[in-house]
Parts: sequence; C-alpha cells; structure tokens
Amino acid sequence: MIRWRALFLAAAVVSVAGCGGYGVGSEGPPTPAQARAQATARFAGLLNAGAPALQVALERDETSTIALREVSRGGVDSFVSSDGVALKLRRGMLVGTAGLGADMMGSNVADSLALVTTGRSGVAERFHSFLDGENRAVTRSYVCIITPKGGRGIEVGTRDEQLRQVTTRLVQEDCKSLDQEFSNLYWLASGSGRIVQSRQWAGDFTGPIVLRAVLD
Amino acid sequence: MRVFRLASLGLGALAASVTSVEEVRAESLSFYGTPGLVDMPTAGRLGDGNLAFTTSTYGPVVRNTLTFQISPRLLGSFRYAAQGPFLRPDSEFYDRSFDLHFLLREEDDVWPAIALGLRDFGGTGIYSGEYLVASKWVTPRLQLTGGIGWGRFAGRGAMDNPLGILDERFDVRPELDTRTGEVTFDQWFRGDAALFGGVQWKVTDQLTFVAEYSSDTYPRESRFALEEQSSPYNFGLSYRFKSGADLGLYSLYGNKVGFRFSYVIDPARPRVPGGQEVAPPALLPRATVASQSWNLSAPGRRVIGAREVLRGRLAEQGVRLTGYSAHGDRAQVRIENLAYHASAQAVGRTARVMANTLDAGIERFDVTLTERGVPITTITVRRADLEELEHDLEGAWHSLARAEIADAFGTTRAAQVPGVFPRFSWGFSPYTAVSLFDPDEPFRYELGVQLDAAWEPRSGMIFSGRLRKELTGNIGSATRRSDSVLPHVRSDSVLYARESDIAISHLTGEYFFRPGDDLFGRFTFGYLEPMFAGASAEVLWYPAQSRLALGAELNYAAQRDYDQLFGLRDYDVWTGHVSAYYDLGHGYHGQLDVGRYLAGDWGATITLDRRFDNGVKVGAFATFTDVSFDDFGEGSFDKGIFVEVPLSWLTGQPSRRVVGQTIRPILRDGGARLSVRNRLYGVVAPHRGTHLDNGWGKFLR
Repeated sequence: MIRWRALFLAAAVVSVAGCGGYGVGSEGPPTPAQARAQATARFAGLLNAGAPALQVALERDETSTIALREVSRGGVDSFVSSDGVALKLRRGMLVGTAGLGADMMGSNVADSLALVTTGRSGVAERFHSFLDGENRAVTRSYVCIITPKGGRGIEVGTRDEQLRQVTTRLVQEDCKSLDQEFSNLYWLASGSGRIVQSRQWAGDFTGPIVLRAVLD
Repeated sequence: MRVFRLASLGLGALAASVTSVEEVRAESLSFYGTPGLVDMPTAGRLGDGNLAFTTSTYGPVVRNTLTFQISPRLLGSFRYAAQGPFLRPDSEFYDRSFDLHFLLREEDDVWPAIALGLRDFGGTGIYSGEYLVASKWVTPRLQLTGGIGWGRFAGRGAMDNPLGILDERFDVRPELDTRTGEVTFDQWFRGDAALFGGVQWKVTDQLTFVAEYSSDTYPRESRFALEEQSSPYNFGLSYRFKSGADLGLYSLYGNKVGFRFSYVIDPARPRVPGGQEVAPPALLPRATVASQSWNLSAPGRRVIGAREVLRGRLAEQGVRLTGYSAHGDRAQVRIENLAYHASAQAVGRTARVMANTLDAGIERFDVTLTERGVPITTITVRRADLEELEHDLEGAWHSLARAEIADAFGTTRAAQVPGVFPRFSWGFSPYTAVSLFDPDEPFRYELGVQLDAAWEPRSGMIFSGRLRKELTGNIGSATRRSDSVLPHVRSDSVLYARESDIAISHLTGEYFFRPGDDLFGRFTFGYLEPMFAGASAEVLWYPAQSRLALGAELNYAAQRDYDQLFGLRDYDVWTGHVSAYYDLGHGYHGQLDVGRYLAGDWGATITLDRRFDNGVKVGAFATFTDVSFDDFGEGSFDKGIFVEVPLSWLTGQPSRRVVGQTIRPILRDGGARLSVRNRLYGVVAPHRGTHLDNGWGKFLR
C-alpha cells in the first residue's frame, strides 16, 4: 500500500516550500514518513507475536499487502498494514477503514451478516458512513439482495506460504442506493462458516477490496 | 416492506439518469471567465462554491479571471487584463475589473434560466456593461441563449433603450466620470441597448461547440491593438479534461484565432476526501489496558509512569502533552495540536490514547486544547462513550452530542509536565513573495530563505524572530515610486524590497493570557512586521459555543527603516480597532473592524468570506476611511480578495499549515492596517465554537 501515497509526496514538498515556517531543529509533529515508520514498527511487533493475518488487495491501484490483527474488541477485529492503513471487520464483513481516503467511518451490516453467514437468500438493508471532502461523516443506506451461489473450491495461503484447498460456499450480495451500487462476494468455509475470502466494496473513492485470510 | 424496497430501487435508477444529465452540462466558460459562449454570457452558473481560473487570448488582449460561485445563485469575478496598446500606440494598458452575475431564475421544463450581470462595475470602466440573458437547454445537449445588453454590449445593432419607457433617464448613458474603484451606479442599464445570442452544443461529455452573435465591436481595442472585426460571429470548440481543465480554440470576429484555458476547482472535493493519514490507534479492551505494567504495580515500583507513556504515545500522534493530572475517576490533560487541521481530530486521538493508556478505573477524560500556551477549550469525553461509539454507524455525531465542550478558563488543574518549558525551537525554510499588477511588470516575485527562532521561557510567553535573505527576485527593481499624498505607510514597499539585504521580518516578545471567563489577552512588542515596530495590546471575548466574538486592539507603531534592520523612520502613529466576528452559518463568515488606520485615517473594514469545513476559505474585504477618494489615489479605497487552502487539502496528509494569497488590485496608504502577528481571533477560533464542531467528522479518524 506504499505506492498510492508516493503520488502525493511530490505535491507536498512543492507546497511546503511555498509557506515556510519552523522545520528543522524543532520538536514538531511526525512527518507522514515518520508516522508510517511508527506503523511499520507496530506491524513488526504484531508479526513477531503471530497475530492473525489477512491478504489485502485494492482493485483501485492494483496494490496488495498483508494486514495483521491488532485488536479485537466488541466483535470487531481491527487489522493494520505495515504503512498504517486500518481495516475493521465484523466476522469477516468490512465495517470500517482508516487511511485510504474517504474512509468508511462506521457501518451497520447486521442484516446482511445474518443472511450471508447462514447462507440464506433474502433482502437486507445495510448502512455505512463515509468521510466526505468537507470532513463530514455522511451516512448512506443500501438495499441488498443476497444470493447463495453454491459450493466453490478455492486455494488459500497459509502462514508457512503453502496453498491449501478449501471447500467454500459462495454468497453474492448486490446492493443499491439512490446513486450508488456495488456487489460483494463472500466465500465461507464449509464447516466453520468463516469468511475466508471476500471482495467487498469500501466506498466510491476506494472501490472494492479483496480480502483473503491467511490460514494457520 | 418488500414493495417499498423495490420502489426505492426504481427511484435509484431514475436519480442516476438525472445525475448523468447534470454532468453533461458542466458549465462552459467565456473569454471573460464567467458562464458564457465566447464573449457573450449565458444564464449559467458554476457548481456552488466552485472556483474557476480562466486565461483567454484575443490577439494582444489577454484576460485572466478568477471566478467564485459565492452562493448557488451569485457569482463574482475578478479580472486582470492586458489590453495591448490601448490609449497610445506604444504603451501596454492593463485593466482590473470586477463582475457580478446573478441567476434570477433557474431553468425548468418550459421556461429558460434567466440571469442578470454587471460587468466591470467598479473599475476603470473599459469593460463596463450590463446584461439580462436567458438560456434554455432545448435538448439535453443543445442550449440556446439570447440576451440584451447595455454599455459595452450595445456596440453592434444598438437600439433605443427599452427601459426608456419607464423613465427617460434610461435613454442616455452618462459619460464615465468615476475614478477607478468607484461603483458606477449612475450608468447601469442606461443608454442604448443591443441584442446578442448563440448556441452551445455538447457534442460529447467532454467536447463542446459554441457559436455566437456578439454585440461587442471592440471600438477602442481596434484603434491600435486589433484589426477591425470582419464579422460579428464567433465559433469555438472546447475540450474538458477529467481533471477540471478545459481547453478551447476559437475563431473570433472572422479574422482572429483565440485560445482559452480554464481550470475549475470544487473546494468541497479535495483529491483525497477526508485525508489519508495513518490510522488512529484502535481502542484496546479495558482488561488489556489494566494489565499494562504502569497500571499494575504500586506507584513507587513503576519503571515508567503513565504520564510518560501517555506523553510518548501522544507525540507519535502529533500531539504535545503539556499538562497532566489524574484524580479519582477523572484524568485531565492539556495538549497542543501540532498535526491536524481539525482540532476535533487531535482531541479524538488524544482521548483514545488516554483510553489505551490510563488506569481502567478512570472514567472521564478532560482534554484541554491550548494554543500559544493558553488553555482555550476543554472537551470532556466519557471513556464508556468512546468504547461504545468506536464502531458505531454514526459515532462522530453521537460523540459530539455526548461530549461536554466548555471554556477552559479555570477548569483545568492539570500539573505542568516537566521539561515542556523553557522551550527553544528554530527552523530554516524557503519562502516566496509576489507583487502583482505593476504596469511595468505585472508579476514580480521574490525567492529566498528564512531563519525562524523562538524561545518560550514559560507558558504563554514567546520571544521570536525571523530573518529573511532574498536569493533572487525582481520586486526591488521596480522603478515606480509612490506619489501618495498620505504618509507612505504601505506604498514604499519597493523601497523596503530594494534597500534590504538580510532583513528582520519580525523580532518580538509576545505574551498570551486569559484575563477571565471567555476572555483572551495578548501583548506584543518589538519589530512587529516588516514596515512597523511598536507595541500592541489586544483583548478578545469569545464564549465557547458562540457564533459571535468581539475584540479590541490598541497599537503604537513607528515606521521602520527601509533596510528592515533596527532603525526607525520619523513617522509614528497610534492605531487600533474594535472588531466583531460573526459566523453567519452555512459557511459564511463576517468581520467588521472599526478604528484608526496606519496613516491616521479613521474608518471601517468589512470582510466577508465563505469557508468550507475542510478549511478552504475564499473571501473579500473593503475598507472605507475618512481619506477622500482623490487623496487615496488610484483605486479610491482599499479592497481585495483572498483564498486560503490548507496544506492537508492539497496533500491528503495531516498538517496545520495553510497556503494563501491576498490579491489587492492596488496597495496604497489609506485604510492600511498594522499586520501584527497572532491576532487573537485567529489563535482561538480553530479550537472554538462552530470551527470545532465543523471538524468533528474527523474525531474518530
């Protein structure tokens, strides 16, 4: 997830030159690079501790990375990448992002989650709030049609870099609001019912994210 | 329920098709940088709050226009035009002008949109004209426009003014007898009128074709700068890029080729909405916090105290801890927000770091925002609310509703963190300065390096200075000298640029303090600004949740030597203002300053701006004093426009820095205000009232 940030650095340097101010030699806020370095150190700590991992890919700029679970609280797992992007998942369903831009600040996916995890078809409402260009959290509601698509065999990576065959049930969720629409796909492991792989929409700005569990 | 949901899906499809039509109709801009065809206007408008920069060329006539959609119906423009040889064959003529364009009614299924415009209503008048124009999209891609114009618009096919029916006075347009800067009320809609019109065809979403019949004959430009027009018709093709850039190629009046470049910015849509900074720390389960070593052992046996851990963790977030105490179920901190444009984000991150660090028995966090060493606003957050709302759908709004926001005066007993003061800081950085609109060289600049240093012996007391060294530039090489009959308080800026080498921009002692509830105070003395030294005292009344703030300021100022070192000239003055600041709502903000200015003149400055919640600000000001328009000289009175953009808007990374530019058509000596640094409203406002609330979307970010 490093690449999409590099774009903005050039612009930053040019603009800073335009306004001056205290720079060298003072105790200032961490620069974006320092903030990412701190995140990398945190990430390294989690890696050593054997925190659960997710492979994450962004379709927007075709980047992929690993995110590690930092905290699990109140039914939400918070994963962080090495450069400080956070993803929040509730039983595998994306409920929040931080650091991607126009972040998903909060969600209510209870209806969808109930249908997807039980493999039933039906209609669900889901809600997300996104940060807009004026730093307001704007809440949107979506009506979703959930359709089980049957069994699929997929390959999922393991912590020791092997590929493992997993039999899954594929569930598709098609959502619409007044002016947005998206489709999410979930692959749930047969037996455990855990979402081991998914493609989930993270908002207009970020688009779909592909998430794949790294198995032990 | 099922039926309702299906219906709403149908509605969704409908709304989507409506939106796409809107997008097709991205506004075409004219050679004047306002909604229009080529030279003629349409009854269009930009997106609310949009800013458009336009450059157009017709032979030697080059127009640069900055247009701002002030409100959904009102649009204002400032234009700087190079006219080529105009009054005499051998000298360039430059002109500044202001326009207003008001949408009287919006287009509907049957009736067209109608707009009223005033072009160049307060300049030298070479573009002066008024129009009433109607435009209608007859198909989603084809727009017809027709209008009637007065003044410059009545050049071709002029007819008697139809308004003459109302009053004979409309029949004759009086000779222009106003000086620059005066508003030409007595000319508007008077004299002959003429008709104009045209079509606009959106060939594709990007490509637009325009054709118009222009009623402007360019009589004065045709004397030296341009050959006579051979046709009243103009044609053009323009292409709009996704970035907002718009490039056009035109056939003008039958015998010239023209170009136009426009760039439209929507301040409400930065490239990265909401920012891309590193994620905040996720809240830990309280049991995990309780088991951290500094919360476990007896106080005497702790290797490191909670305060030091908190201080380190806050520093990682770009927040400086200056005060801390924990008693019972309450922890109090004083912080400086070093990193975030929205103070609410600094408060949100501080509260979460506290929740992840401090003893599990602490239930309430008092976070006091400080600036320049003084406590400003205290936000009290309950730990249980943080935990409950972190993953909530509308956590930001709920947390705002549940937070207590109060004036910080006397609320905080947090002990000062050792090692914060005394503090010394310094930095090297490049700087740029520009000087606009000198007729000999309209764009002058200066590039150099500056050294800043500050020493803060205790909270609120700051000794600081800035040295500047010009490396390259041409501001000092201007040859025009001030002809002002007033004391030369600003108009000798060229001498200041020319005579200085290493210059002291400022060298001051400042003291910031809280005289009482809702009150703020400041003393400043020393070399206050590049042109004046002296002493300044200010007091500001600003309740925590108030839209209104009131201030008063008194200064004694002595003019500095041109070399900008330690010497003074023999001009000094008592100056000061009482000020009212008011948040008008919907992003509009007004300020009124009444008092005495640097040249000893008495008067008032009115400032009106529109600010977006992301910090972008666009505004205008005007100052009227007891200096007569004649004594003031060119421009008649002091006025200008300003644009400010936070660095975070440009980069998507957190920063408190703002880049900005004030544009004055002309800077003279009347209505000039001392530019003392750190006026209290600017220090306090980011942590106060609606400014704090408006950034609350980033509380959980």
